[in-house]
Formats: sequence, C-alpha cells, structure tokens
Amino acid sequence: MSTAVAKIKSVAADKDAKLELRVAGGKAGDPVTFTIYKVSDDSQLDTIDGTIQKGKAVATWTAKGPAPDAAARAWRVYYSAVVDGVTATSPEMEVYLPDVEVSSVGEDDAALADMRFELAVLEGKKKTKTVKGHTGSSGTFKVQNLPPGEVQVTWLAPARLIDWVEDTAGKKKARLKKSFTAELVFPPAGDHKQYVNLPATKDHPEWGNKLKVRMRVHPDDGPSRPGDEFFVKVEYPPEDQLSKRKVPARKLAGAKAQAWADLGTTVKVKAEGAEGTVELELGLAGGDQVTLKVGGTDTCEDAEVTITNWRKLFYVMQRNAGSVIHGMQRTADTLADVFVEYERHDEVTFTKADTPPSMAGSWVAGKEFGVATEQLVIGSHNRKWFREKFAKVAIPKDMKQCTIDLIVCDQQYDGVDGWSKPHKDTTTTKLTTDNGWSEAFDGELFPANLNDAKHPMTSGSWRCTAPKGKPGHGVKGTVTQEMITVDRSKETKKVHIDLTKAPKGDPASLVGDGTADKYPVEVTITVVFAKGPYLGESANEHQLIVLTAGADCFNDTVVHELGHNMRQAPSKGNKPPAALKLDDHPHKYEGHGHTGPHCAHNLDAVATHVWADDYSSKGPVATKATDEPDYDLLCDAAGDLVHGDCVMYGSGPSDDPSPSAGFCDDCKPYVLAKGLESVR
Amino acid sequence: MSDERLVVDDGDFWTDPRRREDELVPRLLEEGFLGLRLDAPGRIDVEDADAMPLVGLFGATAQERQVHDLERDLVVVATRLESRQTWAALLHEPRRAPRGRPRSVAPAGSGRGMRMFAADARPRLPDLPWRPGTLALRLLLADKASNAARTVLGRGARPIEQDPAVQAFLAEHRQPAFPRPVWPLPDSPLPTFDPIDGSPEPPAEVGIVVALDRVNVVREGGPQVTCIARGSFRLPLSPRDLVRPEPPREADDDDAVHASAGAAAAVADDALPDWDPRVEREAERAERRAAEDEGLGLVWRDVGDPAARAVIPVTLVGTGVKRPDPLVVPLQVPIYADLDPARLPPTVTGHFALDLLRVPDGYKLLRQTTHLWAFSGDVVAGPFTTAVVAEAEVRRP
Repeated sequence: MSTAVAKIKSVAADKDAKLELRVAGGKAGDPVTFTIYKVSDDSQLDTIDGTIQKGKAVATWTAKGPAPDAAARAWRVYYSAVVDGVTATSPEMEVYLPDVEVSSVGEDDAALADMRFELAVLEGKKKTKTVKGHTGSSGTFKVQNLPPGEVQVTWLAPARLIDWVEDTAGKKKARLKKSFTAELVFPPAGDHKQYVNLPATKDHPEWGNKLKVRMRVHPDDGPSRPGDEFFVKVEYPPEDQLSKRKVPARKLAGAKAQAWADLGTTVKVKAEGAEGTVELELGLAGGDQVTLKVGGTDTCEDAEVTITNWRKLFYVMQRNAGSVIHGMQRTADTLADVFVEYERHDEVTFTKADTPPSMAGSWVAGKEFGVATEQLVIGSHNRKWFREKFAKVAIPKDMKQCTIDLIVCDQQYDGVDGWSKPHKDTTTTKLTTDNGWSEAFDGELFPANLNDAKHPMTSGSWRCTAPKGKPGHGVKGTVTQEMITVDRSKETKKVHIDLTKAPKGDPASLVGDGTADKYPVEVTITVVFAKGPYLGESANEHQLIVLTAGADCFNDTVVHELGHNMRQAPSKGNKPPAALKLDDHPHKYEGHGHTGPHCAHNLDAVATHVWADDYSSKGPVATKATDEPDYDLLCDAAGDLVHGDCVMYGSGPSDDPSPSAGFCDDCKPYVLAKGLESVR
Repeated sequence: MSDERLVVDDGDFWTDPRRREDELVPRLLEEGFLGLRLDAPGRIDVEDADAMPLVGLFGATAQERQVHDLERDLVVVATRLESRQTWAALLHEPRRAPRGRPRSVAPAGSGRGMRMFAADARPRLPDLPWRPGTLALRLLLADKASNAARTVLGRGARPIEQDPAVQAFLAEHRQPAFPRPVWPLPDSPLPTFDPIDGSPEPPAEVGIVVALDRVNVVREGGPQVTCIARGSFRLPLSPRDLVRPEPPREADDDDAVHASAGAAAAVADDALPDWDPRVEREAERAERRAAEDEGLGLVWRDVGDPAARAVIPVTLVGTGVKRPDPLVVPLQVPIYADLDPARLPPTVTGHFALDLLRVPDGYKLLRQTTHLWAFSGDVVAGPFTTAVVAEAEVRRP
C-alpha cells in the first residue's frame, strides 16, 4: 500500500471533478478503476474508470451530490484506486448542491408570487455570497451556482414567514404572509385626546397640535424591516361637524388622494426594528376629530384611532386654609362642553399666621360682614403678596402660558390706589346733638384699615359754629379716635361721632340747633376708606374670585373669568380667528351696565319688562330687551330680575338661584375655534 | 384755587400724585372750594412711559357727593390738539360688584367733603395714539367739567424737534395732514350738515352750541327720529381741514412714511397665519397703527362728500346721570362754503343735526338724563342736557 496525499476540496454536484491519486506502480496508460465512497458510512457511491498518467491515477468524475430533498446540502466523499495491488486513497472531498430552489406559498398553500428574499451562503459566520431576488410570478426561483456553505433564506418586507413547508438541501419552500400587521404605538388605538394648545414635549406626546403618529410592526410579525411600508389614511367628519377655523390647516403629512384612500400616505421603515412615523396636523380648534387608520396593506385595517382635539389649562388655587371651597365638577362639566380641561396644578393654602404682620388688616372679623367666620379681604392692598406666592410655584415652562393664578378670597376690597397709597376722604359734618353720624365718605370704612390695621381716622377737628358774641364762638378742638366709632352693621360709609368723649373743649356742652344759645358743631374728619365690595377681577394670569355662598355661582364665576382669559366673548378687542366673523355672533355685547365683552343669549326671550332705576315701577321693554341700556334692570312680567343664560353673560350675581347654562350655542363656535396657547 | 397745581412738580405723578393731599385738602375745604380740578404731567415721554397719571380734586356739598360717585361717574376726555380728535372713557374701570336692589339712602346733611384721587388714564383710553402730540385733558362729572390740563406727549429726552433749525425746517416743509372722511354721511332727513328747523345760530365767537329737546320720548313704532342734536359752531380753520385731491405720490414727511408702512402691514395681516401668538400680536399692532394713521389724518382718504370743502372734527361726549359710561360721537363735519386755500379765513361756521339714538351705542341715552359736551381742539362747550324716556315708561302706572 502506498501513501497518497490528497487535497480536500469542494466540488459542485453534477460538475466534472478531476480525481487524482499518486500511485507507485503501473505504467502510463494503464487503466485504473476509481471507487468513490461516502465518508459518512464508507458506502460506495460511484465507480469510474481512469488511467495512469505520470505516476498518478487520474479520472474525471461527474460529481454526485446529495439529492435536492436531502437534509444536508453537501456530503463528504473520498475515492480510491488499486494499482498493482496497492490501494491508493484520496483525502476527503465535499460535494455540494450548487442550486437552491426558493419558493413561496401563501397561507392557502397556493403559490405566492413576487415575494422578496435574501439568500446568504455562510462559511462559519462569514457570508461568502449574498443573493437578493424574488420568487417571480410562479412563486419559485432557482438560485444557481452558489458556493459551498450553509444557505440561509430571509424573506424581505413585506413578506412574513409563517413556517417552512420544505427546507431541504435544494429546496426552500416557505409559507408566507404577504404583509405584516401594523400596530399603533402612539397614540394607541381607540379614542385619544390630544391637547392641542400645549407645546409638544418629549414627556407629553399627547400635547401639541402637530401629533407625531408612531406605528410599528406587530410583535407577532416583528421586528420591522427596512422597506416595510405602513399605509396610513385619515378620515374627517363632515365639514359642518368641524370647526370653521382653518389655520393651521388639518393635514396628514404627505397625504393625497390615493386609489385606496381619499387622503392617504405611506411610510417606509428605514432600519430594522424602527418605527414608522408620520406627522398629523390637528389644528388648534377644540372638538375637531379625525380618525386615523393604519395597516401593512392599503386596506389600512390593522389599527385605528379617533383623535379629538382638547385644550388643557391649569390653575394654581390660592386660598385661605379655613375656607371651604365648593366642588368644581360644574366647572369641569361646563368646560368639557367646549373641549377644555381645567386641571389643578397646585394648591397654596395659608392661615392668618402665614401672612405677614403688614396684612393684619386683611383679616376682618366676620361680624363686619354679617357672617360668623373671620374673613380674608383681598384687593389692591395685599394682592402683591399673593402674586408673589404664585410666582414661586414651580410651573413647568411648557405650561406657564396656560396656567392661571386662581386666588379665592372671602371678600374683595381695594385698600390702596395705584400708587399703593390709602384712599382718603375728608368730610365736614354739622352736628346739632352731642353725637351723630358723619356725612358719607366715598367708600366703606372698617374699624381697622385693610391696608395697615390702623384706626381709619387720620385727622379730625371740631369747631363750634356759634356766631360772634354767643357762647362757644371760636371754640375748637381735635377729634380723637375715642370719639369715633365704625359700626358697619348700621352704616358702612359713615362714622359715628360722640362729642361727649372729647378730651378737651367740651363740645357736647356747646352743641345745639341754634336755639338756647347752643349751635351746631362742625366736625371735619379725614379717613382712610376702601373701595368695594367687588366680585372678582381678572388681570392677565391673576384671577381673584370671591367665594360666594352658592356653589353654582362660584363655579360659573370661575368659568366666566376663565372665559375672559380665553378672550371671550368675541369683540373688537377679542378678535376671533380669521374664519369666523365677529358679526356672526348675534348676542355679543359690551356695556349695558356690564364691564367687558359679554353675551346676551336668551335675554330677549326672558326679559319682558324693565324696572325703573329705583325699582319703584316697571314697564314693558321698549322694543326688545337687548336694546335696553341697563341689563341689570331687566325683569319678567312678575318683576323678577332676569339675565342671559350664557356663562359669558355680564352680570355678577353672588347668589343668583338660576345659574348659567354654560357656553351658549352662539359662543361655542368661537370658544372652540380660539387657539388657547396662552390664556395670560 | 385758580390755577394752582395739585402736585409739587411733575415727578410727583410717578411717585406720589397725592403728595399735597394733606396740605391742600384742609386748606381748600376751609376756603370753601367746590368743583372739579385736574392736573396732569406737562410732558410724558412715550418711549419711556406707558402711563398717563392724572390727579384730581373734587370738592362738593354732601348732597352733591351723594349724587356723584367718583369711582363710577368720572369721565376722562383727551383731545389731541393737532388733529382735534377726542377720546373719552370712564376714568375708573367699572368693577364687578354684587348686584341687588338699591338700599334706601338717608338724605345727606349740610356738610361738605373733599377728596383727592389719582388714576392712570392710559389703559382707559386704549385707542389714544401713544405718539408725540399735545393733549388737552379734562374730567367730566355729569354736568361738571374740570379745567383742561395740557400734556405734551414727546419722544426721547432731547427730541430732534427741539432743535430750532429742525423746527424751522419742519415748519417750512412739513405737509399738512388730511381731513378724515365726513361722518356720519348725510342722509335724508338726518343726519345733515345743513341748518334745519331749530338749529341754533353759529356763535359770534369761536365756540359750539347744541340744541337738544330737554325730554325725548322713544315712540314704539313711531318715527325714527327720537333724540335730535342740532349743533352749530364757529371754529378755527387750519390747512389740514381742507379737502384736497389725492396726492400723486406719498408725502415724504416722517409721519406719512410711517402711515404708509402701517397701512401696508394692515393689508398683509390678512395673509398671516393667526395661530402664532407673536404673529397675531404683531398683526394687531400693525392694524392699530394703520387705524391711528387714518385717524390722525396721515393717510389720504376720500372724504366721501363731494360737496365738502373742508372737514372739521367735533366730538360729542354724553355722560348719563345714571349710567355715566360716555357716548362718544366723533363727528366729521363737512364745510360746504367755498374756501380759497390762498386766503383761508381764520374760522368757519358749520352745522350738524343727527339723531343721537341712531349712532353706534346710542342706546346709552335711553332712560336717563344725559349731559352732552362738545369738543373740538381747545374748544369745549356744554353741558347740553337731554333726557330720553321710553313711551312704555310714560305709560307705567
């Protein structure tokens, strides 16, 4: 037996392979029989004839490889030849199938045409060959002349592999889905509220009028592959069910009329595992809806979401810890009607002990207002303190423009003027008895000033008016605080003067009506007074709401003031969006005894009569109620005062038993159309 | 009191307008002063300040004080002397107060009272152009009017207009502004700018007279005319009042250039998206400026009445006894007399007659007594008093 050295090589099946064996015997031209064996079991695979040439036994063998339906793509063989009784044996050689038939069938096992695939041949982990193709109209494609190695077939988008029907050495037949199932990531399928007035942030994708719609391949079909194509379409309600607002226009980015949708677009995945995204401009109008449908096919049936435009506003409530605030569900309900949510961002409570000594006068005994509990009076004298507290509340930058400072007070009066100086007034009063009421001052007085808790009288003097030659002539003195009493249960704008308490001059003994040598005493008093009472105010983001007894009234006031912050009712100063005309609001008004732009909806229907200014008599309205100058005098036939039913009606009853009906049908289109990016 | 100022100096308006209160009030009360006084800064820099502080003083009998509520009733009137435009509004912003039937009020005594008050009139007159010019400011309290306080709105600490050479140059080259369109346009029978039955004779001296029926009844279904104001005047005539043809090109003075820019911005407004608050605010500013330009006569406009040879601004301001929120009627009265631009008379006479209930906001006269005042530049006339009652009211039991 001679030793033979054979080179291991790979040959493609059905190709001619040159067999060589170095042999010691024989002579050139001698015939030799080659026997080919399978390595796996040493079984004989083939025999061929060869000859001896130059010391080698050589032959050409048409290589036999595994059958196409075999499990393995290649097998190992070796061959031997006997020369002069000596057997020469070759090294192992690999015979592999060079062609692979790739087929695609559908879930019904029928051929599925044009499915794209990528075939890779691997040597270890290294790809030695990559072929991209598709299965053509027949659903089958034969990839030929591949190098040896492991064959992997990957189906490309949109095909999704269900299973392999046949996965053999030469046949790769896959059962496929022609597409993937799309899934909405954000907004999730179903109903979705998008708060279009707030700026979109990473943490709040539900904010912003430009909604970034994210979609992905359903995990069962996932992950996504480059080239996966999402089909997206939008459907809007009829035009008359949408806001008239046109700017910014509702739009799905890239959408146009398609064969498969009135407004549709496609989104291609660029990287494996990536989501598909498309921008949906929702506009700024509240209540507008759009239904967005997505799919892996143009039927767009995989997932859908109905998006409704909402607006979200926030408030920070500042209140006396001792006050019991009414529930605000009515506020929520009223605002929901115009697609606004009013969310409490924070609450700041305080007690008397929390307020600085300079605010001592702001806490007034309940009896001064005819109620049991101590009252917190807020107004010009102390509003700065509350505004500064609001400024310290942490409000995210993105919410700032939409956050209201809602200060709730028990009473509202202004203790100082615009220069922070207390209001002062001076009167002279002629008393004919030793005590009596002063002339009325220009505002209300408190036993302790609201602004500094001091006595309201800043200066005072008295003089006897007795003519020359009469007792008391020329006698005068100072009015002291002991002589002055504020009794708000009887008079709110006057002080009671008691001359008997004068420390000097004894004016009580001089005073009279001019008879019996006693003459009037003229008392001149300068006091600090407060302006009010008021029912609330709104200055940019700061609202001051008086805590009225009625819960409905309180809620309506909150909504009313917020309505003003939302620039309602429409007016020359509260310009509506371009698509809405100011004059199309039939009941907007200004004046008529009220301050600011308001709505008189339903007023003509309920007001039949008008009171005289002093309520002494009433008569029918001259033409119609909305022509009347003073709405606060309008009444029905029974003489009961009436008002408009819109929450933007202008009067401010504190205890009206008939609350508003929310935003009326005239106001709603304007409220819905208004962009609420800022309510400051 | 006479012309005594209510402040020590103009600086008080920005720090403590009532600085003299403790000194003035006792003294004036002692002196028996009754009436309404007003003081205002002599000059306000429109670039530095966005406020128009005023300080007032009201001395009155207790009975008067019971009738007049300073917080509710005071009306501020500003007349721009260059254009003779007038703006008026309640001095104090009405506030929401608890509503209810009025309580009976005890009659006032024989005493008196005096109060000093301060307010910022700027937010109350939002349409007043915040541009250089001269204002005559007054307060009205029903049938009482204060003195006029004059305030110059200036720009910058040392405006170029104070340069004598610039002043001379401007005097020589600046083109007069244009008259604003006639308003209201004449109709039959009213409004009219011809004398009618009951029209008063124009005064012999500069002035305005208005004749009103003392009591007017609004008759349901009756004639449209319900509250006729018949006015006549003799007023100064200036070149800017003359009706002139549209100039062939833009005037080249600064104001006209601004005017044209403002008008262009207003036109462009239509094309701007309205969802960006900044853009919206900018558009509103441009619109406001364009309106101001028109109001100030900086933009040529057809006056709308081919027979008009000049147009004289006369503003009627009515303030009611019950509801003082003023009715402002900015008349632009056409002058039909032939006028030779080369030999302009110093004054012209004119007439107007209109139904005050048919002008915008005319409803304010209903069911109350109103004191009407007329303003044109430095000229003020009034009060002319009228009352309007509804026929239905007459029938009331």
